[in-house]
Order: sequence, then structure tokens, then C-alpha cells
Amino acid sequence: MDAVSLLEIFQLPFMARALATVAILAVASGVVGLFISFRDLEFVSDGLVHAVFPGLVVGNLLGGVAGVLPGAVVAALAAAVLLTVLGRRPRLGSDAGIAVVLTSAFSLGVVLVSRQENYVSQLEELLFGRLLTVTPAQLVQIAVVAAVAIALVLLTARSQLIRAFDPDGFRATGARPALVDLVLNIAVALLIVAGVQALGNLMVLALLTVPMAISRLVTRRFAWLVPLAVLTPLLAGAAGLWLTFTASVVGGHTPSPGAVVVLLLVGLYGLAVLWSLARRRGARSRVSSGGAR
Amino acid sequence: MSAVAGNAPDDATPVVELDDAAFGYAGTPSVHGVTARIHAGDSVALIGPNGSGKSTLLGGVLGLTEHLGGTLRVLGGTPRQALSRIGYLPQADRRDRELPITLRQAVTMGLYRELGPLRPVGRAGRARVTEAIEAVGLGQHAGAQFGELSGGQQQRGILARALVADPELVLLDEPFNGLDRPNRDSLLVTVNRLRAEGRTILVSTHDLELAREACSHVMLLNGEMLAFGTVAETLEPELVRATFHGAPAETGPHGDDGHHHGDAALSLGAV
Repeated sequence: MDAVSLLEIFQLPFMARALATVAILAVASGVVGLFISFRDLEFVSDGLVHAVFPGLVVGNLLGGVAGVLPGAVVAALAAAVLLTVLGRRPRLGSDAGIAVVLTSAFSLGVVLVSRQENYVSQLEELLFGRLLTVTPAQLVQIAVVAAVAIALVLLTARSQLIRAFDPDGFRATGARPALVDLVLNIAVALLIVAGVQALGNLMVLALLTVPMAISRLVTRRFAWLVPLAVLTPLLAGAAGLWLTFTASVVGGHTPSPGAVVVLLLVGLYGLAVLWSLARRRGARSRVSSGGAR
Repeated sequence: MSAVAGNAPDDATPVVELDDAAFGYAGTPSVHGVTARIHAGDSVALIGPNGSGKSTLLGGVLGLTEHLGGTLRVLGGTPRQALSRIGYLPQADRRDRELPITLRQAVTMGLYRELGPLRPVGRAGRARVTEAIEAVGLGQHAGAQFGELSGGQQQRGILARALVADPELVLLDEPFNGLDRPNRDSLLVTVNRLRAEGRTILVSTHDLELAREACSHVMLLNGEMLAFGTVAETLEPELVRATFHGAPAETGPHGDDGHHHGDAALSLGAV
């Protein structure tokens, strides 16, 4: 059997929706991921991802599939507020506080989900998502939530930038650090909610952090950071969906598409690391040969 | 940049007015007993050892540290009301030099308060940024990565950011720390020019030579204000010795912390 061509498979409606989901999430995580990276909020994002988990489970218990999104939104907003408060109390130890929130929320989610009958498959869906079964209604939900997350970040982008660059200078502008932090945490939380149904709880974190990590390895030009961080998950997404589909048609086995996309993204990250190392070595040898003259 | 002297309020109204003021954190004062009337065009060196309350006082004038007693008026009102007329150069240690932004972007941040969240910088804004960068002598580095500039160039860049909004009051927190001779001289030229333009300057330092070269007044601090007055009447050997309790004071550009040569007593021969 032949591998199926890219164009062919994305004419199938469910594959087109999967690609559209990845594209929306790529754009939103490119914008929001810029400040996750600038503010070193990768661990906070991990905390938010795990805190959303019990919200998904409770939503599912109360309202079935339709309850998942509202449950996740409530949990995400509560976690964003909690982590903002913890981040502003150095005596509680920000990282320790995040670790407590992360592990307790995740454990709560597992305990709750274990009350379900088919609990292993439920857990797998919550953790790894259902990229190939995104419905048109879900696609609209994802687009709306992602748009709100982007708007929140764009409205506070100047404050976020100066806060990341120079926290003391930022306070002297008269802006409120707590508000700026809360807005960013809410934007991250909303994006997690948008991504979690399709990509799953664990995979959405990769989308929030890996593309911008790639961008920062590859370029030091500010203007290229976001476009590159949108492009890399798009590439990984299209290639990952194609691989999954082909594996399913040719090999009769369907790996989790979310996991395949993330593995490809991490592969791109590996290439970016190599490129950055090679470039640095090149720069060093230029400096040393220049110095020898 | 316009000269500010003409715009200054009535000569009798001080730019900064402090009467037995105390500032600190979490309800505990770090510095108290501060009384001074600082007028337009004055340039005041805040001098004292580490932990003497210099930065706390500057933070108080900005409304960032807690005002715990006495009176404080800045440009005729509260610090918050005055904020848009104040330029601030914070200490260098909390800046993220890894961020991939250019010097031009860093200086443009000085316009954010005026522009708000969405208004574009525009041609006039860009021209002001260029002018501020040229005024600190970094014209040829405008497009360079901020983190790749030398420490002294970064300080001058942040000074440009403090000046781009044309402030009447300029607060400089340890701007000369760790600078080499050329960067220190360049920063001194800028500070003296700001004075000549009629701006009011408060600069914290433990460098006595700097106070003599660039300031009209000196305030000695060590948890409380020990003296305030003109350079000639305040940099008295007895007062300086009391301020530092014999602890080292910098007499010139000796570079980084931990390399303080000489002590206060040694430096006083030149006072």
C-alpha cells in the first residue's frame, strides 16, 4: 500500500479539522509563548496544565463531554489566581508552591477519574487528547478561547515586555505587577483550556514552551521570534498528522497524533540546539582567529 | 530635549520636599529623619554605605517603597501624581540581559507610560528615541542587542530610557557602580548636561569624588539622614566618618564591589 499524499489526507474533513486545530493553537501559543519564555514561566505553565486536570474530570463527571470545557475554564481561572498569589509571596517559595498546586491538583484529578468505569481509557483521553475527533463545535470553542488569550497578551504586551526586561523599571511606570501577572497567567490558562481537549493535558505544555525555545535558539531578532514559533508547530503538526494517518492506513496501527506531533516538535528543538551550538563554535573560532592576527 | 528650568514651578516651590520623612518595607523603616528641600536644578548626591537607605529613599520619592512617616511632596503632589515627570534609572542587577531586544527597543520602553498599551510609537516617538540614544553617546549602537553592550553602555542605555520622556526630576540609583573610566566619564558628562538643562537630579552613590564632580548638594545617610547641604558644607571629614563608621567609602572609579580602596578617612584629604 502506498503512503497517502499530504493534500489528499487534509481533504478529509476530520483531518482538516485536526490541522486547523493545530494551526489555531500554533498561532496562539506563538504569541503567548513569547512571554512564557521571557518571564521564565515554563514551570508555572506546567502547574497550570496540571491544575486544569481536575477541572476536566469534574466537568466530565457533571456534564459529560459538554461539561469538559466549562470545568476546565473554572479550574484554569482558579489556578491562575492561586499561582499569581503564590508568585508574589517569596516566603512561600514560588517553585515549592507551584509544585504543591501541581501535584495535589493532578492527584485529585486521578482520584476523581478513577471513579469512572472505563477509567484507563478516560485517563488516556484526558492526558493525550483526541486530535482526530475534534468536532466543528469544538473547533469554534478552541478558536474563541485562543482569541481571548491572544487579546489579553496583546493588550498588555508593553507591560509584559518591560516587566520581563527590568522589573524595577517596570514598577516605576506606575503599572500594577499583580494585575499584569494575573493577565498573563489567565492567558496561559485559557490557552491550555483551548489546547487540552485536542492535544491532551501533557502535550499542550509542549506546545506552549517548545516552539519559543526553538525560536530563541535560532534567532536573536525579536521580530522573528513569534513567526518562527508559529511555523515550527505548524510543520510538526502537518507532518505528525500525515505520519499518524499513514501509519494507520499502511500499518493498521494509530499512534496518538498529539504525541507524534510533540515528538516531531522536540526533534526540531534538537536540530535547533545543534544549529545553535555549531553557530556558537563558528563565532568562537572566528574570534580566536581574529585575536591571533 | 527642552530645557526644564523655564517650566519649573515657582522658584520657591521645591521639586522634592521632605520633612522628617521615613521610608521602608513591610512597616519597618529602613531610613528615617529625612528633611530636605530640593529645588529645580539642584543635583543631590545621596551618600552612605550599603544598606544605609539610599535606594529606599529613591524608591520613596517614586512611591515604590512605603512612606512610613513625616511629609513628602514631589513636584507639588504625591509621588504617583508626579510619576510621568520623573525619570528613573534602577540598579542594574535585576535586568534580564538575555532578552533578545535591541538598545532602541529598551529605550522605547521609556515612552510606554505616555503611549499606553496600544498607541503606536510613530515617527515623532522614534525621533525622540534616536535623540535620547545620541544624547548618551550611543548613536552607532542603536540597533545592537542590549545584552551584547558593555555594562557601561547598558547603564547609558537605561539612562537614555529614563530621559526619553523629558523628565523634570531624574533619579539615578548607583549609576556608576562597576563602570570603567571612559563610561564613568561619559555618564558624568551626561549628568552635568542634565544639570545645565535645569533638571533636578537625585543620585545614590558611595563615590565621594562623583559628588564633588557632578553635584550641588550632598545628603549623608546611614539608616537616618545625618546631614544635608551644599557639597562644600556637607562633605566634612567628621560627618563623612560618622556616616561610614570607618567603613570603606569609594574615592574614585575603582570598579566593582569588593575592590574598595582606601577608606573614608583616607579620602578626606581631598575634601
